Amino acid sequence: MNSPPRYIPVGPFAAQRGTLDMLLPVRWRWYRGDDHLLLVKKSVSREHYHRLYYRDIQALIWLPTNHWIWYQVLCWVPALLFGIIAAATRDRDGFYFSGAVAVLLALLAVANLAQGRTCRAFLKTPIQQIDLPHIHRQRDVQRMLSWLRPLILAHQRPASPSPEAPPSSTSTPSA
Amino acid sequence: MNAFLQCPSCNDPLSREVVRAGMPISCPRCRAVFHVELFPAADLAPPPPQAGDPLLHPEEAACYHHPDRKAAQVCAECGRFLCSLCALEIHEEHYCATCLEHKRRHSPDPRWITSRVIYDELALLMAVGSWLGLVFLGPLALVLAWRHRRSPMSLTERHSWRMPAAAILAVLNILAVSVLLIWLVVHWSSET
Repeated sequence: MNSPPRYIPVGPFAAQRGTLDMLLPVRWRWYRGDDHLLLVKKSVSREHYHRLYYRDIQALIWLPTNHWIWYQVLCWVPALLFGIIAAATRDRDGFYFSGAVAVLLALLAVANLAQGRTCRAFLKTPIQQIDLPHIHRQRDVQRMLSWLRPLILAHQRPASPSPEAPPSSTSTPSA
Repeated sequence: MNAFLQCPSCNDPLSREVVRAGMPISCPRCRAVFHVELFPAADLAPPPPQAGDPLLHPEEAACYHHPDRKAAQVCAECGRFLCSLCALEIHEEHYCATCLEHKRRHSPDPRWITSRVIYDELALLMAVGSWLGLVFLGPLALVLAWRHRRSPMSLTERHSWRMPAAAILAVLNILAVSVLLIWLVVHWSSET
């Protein structure tokens, strides 16, 4: 089979494909194939492909992290400082500038909060536990599970009994 | 202890018994709490290691690499007899290690490709860079676009718009720079 397989972009950055995505020197993206996930790592000018077959995936692991709290601190502390400066200054231009910076930082903090809590995610197969560096949020993990779980279960469904198999002798006779 | 997974925080091996579906897991070593979604493959026993059956009669076909082992498969590429230790099953076919490596390096089949240089993206970036003042990138982008006009793109890319776009941008940039240089020379010579 030499025809290129069809891959559907999935994950948190799927919508950004083809826009400014190519400007990133290093990026991780993943795609859904017929029988496997394709994890694509781009480093400057070369793409590396990792195939994870649905039949081999044993578990999805995620570790909640505290990075979201640090993001909040990093945004709210300067936002409060600029807010205080804006309130304290008597200069009109200074008020507008400090106020604008404070509002911008507060908006960044709220946007970050809306994205949910942070985490690190891994996919486990019988011989490896692959880090998924592009999954940062627990909400993304849940989204990923919602489309990945049916695919994996469909490929790992236990084989149905052979139609040639004799009927079980322990079956209860009808009354 | 038979390690099932590694703690994502301290990489300590954890057994299957520790992992319960739907329950958060606390690492006994670092106390990090993490979650695991298990799939049916987690409880499948790994296939037993195969060393190849010994040759019982001299009339039996022997493995090419192990003359004392019974041949179990034929390499789909070179046709050599292989024991179950030497036969590598990939995409429902069996190969010897030499043919597998050769196929991995030279096969045009997309299923064998593990990395690829994305020339179309590179050429487009260079062409855009030429319009941002790095004019030496224009001819380079054009050469790259011409040399690799038939090179395969990214495995995940289905549209080939980048290479023509890079070539058009590069040609326009070269023309613009040429016109600017000619105008400068004419302007300079008319002044002197």
